[in-house]
Amino acid sequence: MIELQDIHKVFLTHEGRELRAVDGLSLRVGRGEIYGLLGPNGAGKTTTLRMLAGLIAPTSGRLAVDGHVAFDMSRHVEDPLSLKHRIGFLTAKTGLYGRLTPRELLRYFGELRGIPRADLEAQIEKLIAALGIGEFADRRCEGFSTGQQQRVQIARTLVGEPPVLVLDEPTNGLDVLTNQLILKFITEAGRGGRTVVISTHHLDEVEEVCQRFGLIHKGRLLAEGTLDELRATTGRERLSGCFRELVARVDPEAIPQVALPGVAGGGGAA
Amino acid sequence: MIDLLKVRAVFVKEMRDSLRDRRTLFATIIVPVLMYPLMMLVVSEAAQVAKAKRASEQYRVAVQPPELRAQVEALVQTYLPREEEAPGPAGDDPAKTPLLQPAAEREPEEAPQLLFQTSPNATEALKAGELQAILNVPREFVALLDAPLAPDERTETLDIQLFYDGAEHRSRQARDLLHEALDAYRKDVLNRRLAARDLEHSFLLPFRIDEGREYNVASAEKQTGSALGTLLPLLFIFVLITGALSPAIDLTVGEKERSTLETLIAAPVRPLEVIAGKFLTVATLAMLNACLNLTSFTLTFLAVGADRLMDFHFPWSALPATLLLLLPLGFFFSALMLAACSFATNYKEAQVFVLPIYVVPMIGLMVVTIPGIELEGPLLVAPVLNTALLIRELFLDRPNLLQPFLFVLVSTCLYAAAAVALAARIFAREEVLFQRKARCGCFSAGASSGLRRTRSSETRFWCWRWFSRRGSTFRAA
Repeated sequence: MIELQDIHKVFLTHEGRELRAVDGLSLRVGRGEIYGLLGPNGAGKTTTLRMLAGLIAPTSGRLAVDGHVAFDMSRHVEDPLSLKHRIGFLTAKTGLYGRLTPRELLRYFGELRGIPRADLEAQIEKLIAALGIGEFADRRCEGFSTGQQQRVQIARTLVGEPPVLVLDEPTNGLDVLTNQLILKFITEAGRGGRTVVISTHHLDEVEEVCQRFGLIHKGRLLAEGTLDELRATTGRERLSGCFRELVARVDPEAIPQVALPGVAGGGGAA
Repeated sequence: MIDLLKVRAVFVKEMRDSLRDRRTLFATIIVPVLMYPLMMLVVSEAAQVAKAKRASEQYRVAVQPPELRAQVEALVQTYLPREEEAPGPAGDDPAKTPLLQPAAEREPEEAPQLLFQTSPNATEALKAGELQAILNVPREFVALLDAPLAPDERTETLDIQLFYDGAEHRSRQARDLLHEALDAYRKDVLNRRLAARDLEHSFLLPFRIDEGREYNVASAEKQTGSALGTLLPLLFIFVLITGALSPAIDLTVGEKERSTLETLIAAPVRPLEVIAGKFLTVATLAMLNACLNLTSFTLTFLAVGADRLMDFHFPWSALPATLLLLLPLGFFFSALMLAACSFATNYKEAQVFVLPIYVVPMIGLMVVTIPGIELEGPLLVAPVLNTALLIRELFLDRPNLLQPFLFVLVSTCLYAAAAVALAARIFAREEVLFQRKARCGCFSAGASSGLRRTRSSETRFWCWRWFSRRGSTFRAA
């Protein structure tokens, strides 16, 4: 379903230095699979997801979704539009158009996806009902609570029924109840046959949700597998432990060793 | 290929969003509708207050020598002009009317008062502001001028000295009043001398040049057009620019500040379709703003000024062509504003980036006010300036304007299209879309190679950006 082959993304710093955000990343995600893309800050997760969502182009490599090649830089193929048709993109950082109502917002994004009007209205009604938006569907978004906003964001992501969902830290900064809403949404999307790629720092939240995990560090894939496979590789029980262990093996300095005065046993258990 | 349905979707959404934005509503609709009537009201009230104040003013005048004070005062008060003198029944024809109708014969009205006094140290008092003027008259002034003249008697010119403080408004006012009164008195004396010698007024006026209204071949519309032709292009272009400013910032930087841009570009829509929809919104709001501004301005002008401007004949025939010319110009400014604002990461930065877009044309448009500058040669394709000059020509009702009109229209359309393409190109750039990332020190390789390719044309802009960043760093430090 999703196929990344030797993807590179190079940025130039202000000083003219090359910064390899993604460095030869290759991975495959099957249809209906929920894939957790993990990594420390600056590992290249957001850059990878942005390329996957068609927001930016890789410097080199090949990216295909649903059998359609969106980027093949060696052959000068760049077709982000077809990629965007197949992808629903959600982050916790993105805002809503405060002066539009959820219904108007869903209609807008449906029109941008080129959905015929009659189908679009039916889809909107279905999403409003499914996500419990009906009560505030015709009120402007500007005064919404975080939970209401996230529901509208989820509905917006699902307009056009994209087969692939790309979620970049979707629970970042959200409260517990809204977190649960997002996790439920991810689970339901997987059950509905959608492919989901999720990037997050909240490892405990996704360890029950994702079927496979990929750990990237400094733009490279360190390890990939199911939770059981990662446990077997690292000898750790929890996903966070596996994560720490795998990073420490290749880059011990990346694991902060902070001894706080008066605080014993700062290492934490895995 | 561009998908027009998506452009329409963006346009409809942005119009709806903008018309619900209090800031845009205020700048686009409320300000133009209320500004001119309020301005006119304020100016009118201020004029009334100033007039009332002026009428109740008292100016102190010292007369030298002191013994002539009472006579000079009586003389000046007699000939002192009154506020809003109505013309006599014979109009302004000096041949038919007495040279002056003494003020004492007219209806007394409230007017500034001259208080005459004597002062031992008048010059110092004038410098200190205690006096507003000093009138130094020769001793024979009153007696000599009032005495009847024999027909063969010789006359001489007397010198009167009028001291005042040129830096003080009140002193200048006193000087003007004294001048008018003495001038009126002089004309009266002249009339009497002519009568004493049995001479007609035509003796002093062998001929006159009649350039009355009926000898002016210019139509009333053309005369009004001549007056408005230099002012209106500036006004039209100013309202177009100000109308595009607020929506252009809101539709670009606003998206970034509200964190909705990433959502938008994640949708299957091309940058050109997004920018085209936004561009149409900005252009529509700019034109709406311009129309409201001009309507409000015209109505206020006609309502308040109609009784004072009886000869005001607006050259309506020039209006359709003018509005047609303003369309591509509105497109041009809207696209330029969008392109400039796309670079900005916040409102403050956007306001700095758009500054040259409205300062440079406004300074350049001063050319329109220079007599002798004609719409020909390279000026036919000079952006903005060509439109301003053509509007001036249209208001002057010049013949054979079809060819320049086509030149200006086509060239401005091309500039507008180029500006839209530039805005779309800028909007599609990764470093513009993810500027927060870029600010942290990263540019994509593609973007940087693009930057290298276009460096010659954009070096100044990027240097400016670099300095603005450094400046903000220094300020933060």
